[in-house]
Amino acid sequence: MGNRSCHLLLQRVAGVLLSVMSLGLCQVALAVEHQWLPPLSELPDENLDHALVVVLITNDVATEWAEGKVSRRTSAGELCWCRSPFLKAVSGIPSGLFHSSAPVYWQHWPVGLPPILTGGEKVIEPGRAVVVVTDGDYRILELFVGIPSDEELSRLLGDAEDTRRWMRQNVTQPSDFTKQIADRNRERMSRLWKRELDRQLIAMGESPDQDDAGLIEDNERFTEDVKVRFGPLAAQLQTLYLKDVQLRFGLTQLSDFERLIVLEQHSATRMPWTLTITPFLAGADLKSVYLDLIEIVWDRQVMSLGHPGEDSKGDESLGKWISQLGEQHPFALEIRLPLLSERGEMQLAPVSAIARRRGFGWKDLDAALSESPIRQVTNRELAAWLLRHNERPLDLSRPSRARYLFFRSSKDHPYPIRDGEPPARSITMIRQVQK
Amino acid sequence: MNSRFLCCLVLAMVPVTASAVAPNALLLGSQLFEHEWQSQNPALGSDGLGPLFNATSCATCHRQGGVGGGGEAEFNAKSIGIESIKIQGSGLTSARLAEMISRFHPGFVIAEGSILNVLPLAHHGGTDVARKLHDAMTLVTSADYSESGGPIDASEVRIANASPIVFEQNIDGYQVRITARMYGRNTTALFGSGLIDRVPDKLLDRQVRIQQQHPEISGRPSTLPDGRYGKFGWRANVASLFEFNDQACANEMGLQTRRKKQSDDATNRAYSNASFDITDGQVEALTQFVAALPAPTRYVTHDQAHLASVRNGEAVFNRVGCAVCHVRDMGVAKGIYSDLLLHDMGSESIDLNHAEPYVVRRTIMDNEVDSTYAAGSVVGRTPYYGPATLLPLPVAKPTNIDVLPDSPVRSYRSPNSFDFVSPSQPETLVSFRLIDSALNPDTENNSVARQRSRSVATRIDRYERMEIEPTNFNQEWRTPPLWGLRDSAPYMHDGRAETLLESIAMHDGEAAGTRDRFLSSSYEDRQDLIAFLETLVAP
Repeated sequence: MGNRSCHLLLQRVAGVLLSVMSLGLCQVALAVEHQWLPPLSELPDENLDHALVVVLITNDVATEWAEGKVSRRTSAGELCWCRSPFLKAVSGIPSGLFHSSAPVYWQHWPVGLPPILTGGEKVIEPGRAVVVVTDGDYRILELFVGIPSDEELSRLLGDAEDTRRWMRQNVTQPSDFTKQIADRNRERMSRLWKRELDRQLIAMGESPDQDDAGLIEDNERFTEDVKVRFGPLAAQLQTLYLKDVQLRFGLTQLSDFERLIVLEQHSATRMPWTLTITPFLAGADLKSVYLDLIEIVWDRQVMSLGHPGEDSKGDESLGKWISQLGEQHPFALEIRLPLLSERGEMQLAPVSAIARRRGFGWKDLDAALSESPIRQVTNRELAAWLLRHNERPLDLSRPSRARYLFFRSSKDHPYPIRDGEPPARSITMIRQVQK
Repeated sequence: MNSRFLCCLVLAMVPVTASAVAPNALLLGSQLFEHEWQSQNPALGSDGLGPLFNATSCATCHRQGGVGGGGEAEFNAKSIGIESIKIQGSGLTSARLAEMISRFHPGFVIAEGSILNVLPLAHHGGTDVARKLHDAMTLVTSADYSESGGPIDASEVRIANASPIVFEQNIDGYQVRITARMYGRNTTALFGSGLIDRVPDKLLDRQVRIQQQHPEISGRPSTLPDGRYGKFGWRANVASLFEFNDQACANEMGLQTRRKKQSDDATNRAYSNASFDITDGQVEALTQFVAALPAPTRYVTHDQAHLASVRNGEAVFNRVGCAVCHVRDMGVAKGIYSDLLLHDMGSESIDLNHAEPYVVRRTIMDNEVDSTYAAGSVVGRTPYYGPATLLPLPVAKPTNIDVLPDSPVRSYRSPNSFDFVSPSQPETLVSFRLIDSALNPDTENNSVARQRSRSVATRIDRYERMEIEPTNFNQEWRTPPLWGLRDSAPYMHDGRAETLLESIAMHDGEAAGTRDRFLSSSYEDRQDLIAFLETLVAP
C-alpha cells in the first residue's frame, strides 16, 4: 500500500476513533496550496522522485488559439468547462494526502480543436474530460475518464502511489507490474471485463515481443512499445465497451453517440474500460502518448499542445516546405488520422464497381495524389499555417472527416477531400490540375 | 417482552401506514414474514413449501434497508418468454403443437392443454427433470446465477437479457424453431405499501387527466378485468396489498392459498396438493404486517453544501420533467414519487408477461345460447407477473372467451406451417368477461327456439364487453415509487441498472424527452439530481 493509501486509511481510523471517543475535537483542515502549473512544465527538482502530476485534459480550446491568431501560450489559467466540479473535488481531498515531501502538481491541458479547424465556429459539443496521474517524469500511473469526485480523486492518488511502487519494484520486469495493476483493477470489474483483462494479459504473455519489451528505465523505448500495443488493444476493447454501454445505458442507435459523450462525463461510464487498459499503459510517457490516448477515448481529433515558452514557430517548417514547392505547383496535405480511425474500418463513402473500373476508386485517389508533393501534417501545424496565411477556416470533421487538403498552388485555397464523399470529383479535379 | 414484540408494538403505533391493528396480529405477521417454510405442513395436511419456489421466506428477498425492503438481483424472479415459434410441416394438431413446445419446456403447456408464451422459472424445487431443465435454460443465457437463483448482479442481468434462447429441432418431420428470452423481476421494497393500498382510484384518474395535457407523457391506469385499478407489482396488475401477498405466497414460495393455486411442476402433472398451505388468517396477518411497515424517509446531512446540492437536484428533477410521472405525493402516500400509472418505457424495457390491456369502456351484454354449449372459459394468465399470451392453436374453432359467436374468428390454420410471434399490443380490441350465467326456463319462446322453430333449452350468459385501447403492453410499466431509492439497487424492473445514472439513461419511450433534458443539463445539475435521489432512503 502506498504512502497516500496508508495515510488515508490512518486518517479514517483516526477519524473514527475521534468520533467514538467524542472528544469534541474538530479536524483542523491544513491549508493546502494546490500547485497549478502550465501544461508540460518542467517540474521543480525538489522531491521530484515523490511528486505526482495530476493532468486534467479537456476539449476546451486553448487560449493561444482563442483570438483566431497564433499567440504565445498563457499560463495555467485556461478556460475549463468542468472547472467548478473539478476544483470542488480537489478541495474535497483529505488534506492529509498532501505532503511537502511528496508534492502533487496540477495541470490542465485544453486540447480542443480551434475554430480555424472547425469551420470558424465554436463547436457545440458536450464537454469531455480525462484525468491522468503521472509521476514526476510524466510517466502514466493512473487513468480516469470523466470528472472525478473527491473520493475518486483521493483513490486515484492512492492507486498512483501503488502503481509507482510496483513499477519501481519491477524495473526489469515490466510485465510484473502490469499484472499487479491488473490484479488490483480486476476486483473492481464485472465478469465480462475481467475476462477481457485476462485475455489481454494472456495475449501479452504470449506475445513474441514481450521478451524484447523495453525496460521501464529506458522510457523512450518502453513508451514506443506501449504505443505499438496500444492501437490494437484499444480497438479490441472498443468493441466490448460499445456493447457494454449499449446494455448499461440503453444506447441502441448511432444517434445515441451524443448521449454517450455526455455520459462519459460521469466516471462510471468508462470505468471498466479504463481499469482494463491502464495496466498496459502504465509507465508510458504521457507527453508522447496523450494525443493517441485522447483521440482513442474521444474518437475525435484533438490539438497538440505547444511546449512551454514557445509559440508556434515550430510550425513554420510547413510554410518553408510549401514555399520551396514554388507558387504554381499543386500539392497536398495529408491530415493525420486519430489512432483508432487509422486502425479501424474506414468510414469511406462507397464506390461502385463501375466507378472503380473507370479509375475513380479510393486507391485511385491515393495514386493521383501521389503524383504531386504530399506531406502529412498535424492539426497544430495546419492551424498555425492557416492562421498565418489568413486562410478561411476549415472544418476537419463536418460534413465528414477531411483526409486530404489539395492545393492547386500555394496561392490557392485548400480543397478538402473528405471520407464521406465519393472520390471521383476530386480525382477528376486533381488530374486536370496535374496535366 | 421480546424485541420482536416491541418492534411490532412500534409498528402498530405508526400512524402513517396501517389502520389500528393489534400488536399480536403484527407479531404473527412479522413471524410469518420471516418464517422459513418447509415442505409438508402437517397442521394443514398440505405440501407446505413448493414444490416450486423462489425462496423459503418473504424476508429472504425483501431485505434491503431492513425486513420488508427490496432485493438484490440475485433474488430476481425469472421467467422464459417465447418471442416466436415457426413450425414447418403439414397437418399440425393442437396436441402435436403442445408436444413440440413441451420438448422445449413442458411448463409452457398448462393443465387443460392450452399453451402460454411465458413460463415462470422457479429457482428451486421440482423433480430432477425440472431441475435439469432449469439448469439447461439458465446455462444458455451465458449469465452467472447465484445460489439464491437470480443473476449475481446487474451486469449478469444484462447478459441474460441480451442472450436469445433458440430451440431448433426436427421433431417427427416438423422443423421447429423457437426463440425465447430470459426475463426477470426485481424484488420490490414493501415499505409504505400500506399507504399505497389506501390511494383511491380517483387520484390515479386525476394524474391521467393532468398528463393528457402533457406533450410527452401519457400514463394510464392498469385496468383489471374486474374493473378495479391495479397498484402493486411492476405491472401494477394487482389491486390490493392483500392480493399481492396472497399471490406472492403462491408464486414465490409455493404456498397455496384458498384463492391462489401454487405453481405446478409441469414435469410431475399427476401431483396435486391435498390442501392449501397457508390460512386466510395467516395471509391477513402477513398483510397487516406489511401494511404497517413504515414509509421510506429522507436523509439529508447538515452539511450546507450538500443541502444546497440536494435542493438544486430536486429543482432539476422537477424542471426536466421527472416529477410528471414521479409525483411526490399521492394522497396519503406522501413522498412516494410515483403516479402509480403505467407508462411506455420503450422497446428496450420488454417482458412478455405484459401489462393488462387498457380497458377504456365497459358495457354489459347478454348472449343467449343453447344450454348444451360450454360457457366461455377464462383466458389463461399468470396475473402475478402480468398476463401472458395464449398461443393460437392450429384449429379454426374459437377456444376462449375473447371470441364470442358474433365476433370475427381468427384462424391460424395454415397448410404447411405454423407461425407465432409474441404480440406487442393486444390482438383483440374487444374482450368479454363472463359475469353471470343462468338457464332460461322458457324453452319455447326464446331466441334460439325461434331461430330453430322448435323448443330448445337455453342459457343466458351475461358478459361484460370491454373495449380496449391498443398500447405497447410489453413495455408498459408502473412508475416505480422512488421512496427508499438509495436502499433498493439495482434498478429498473429486472434490476439491469446498477446505478441511478444507468437507470435514468435507460428511460425511453414516453420518458425519452425527460431523459434527454436530464442529459442536456449541466454536469453539476445531473450530479445534484442524483444527490437528491440518494436522499430517498429506507425507513
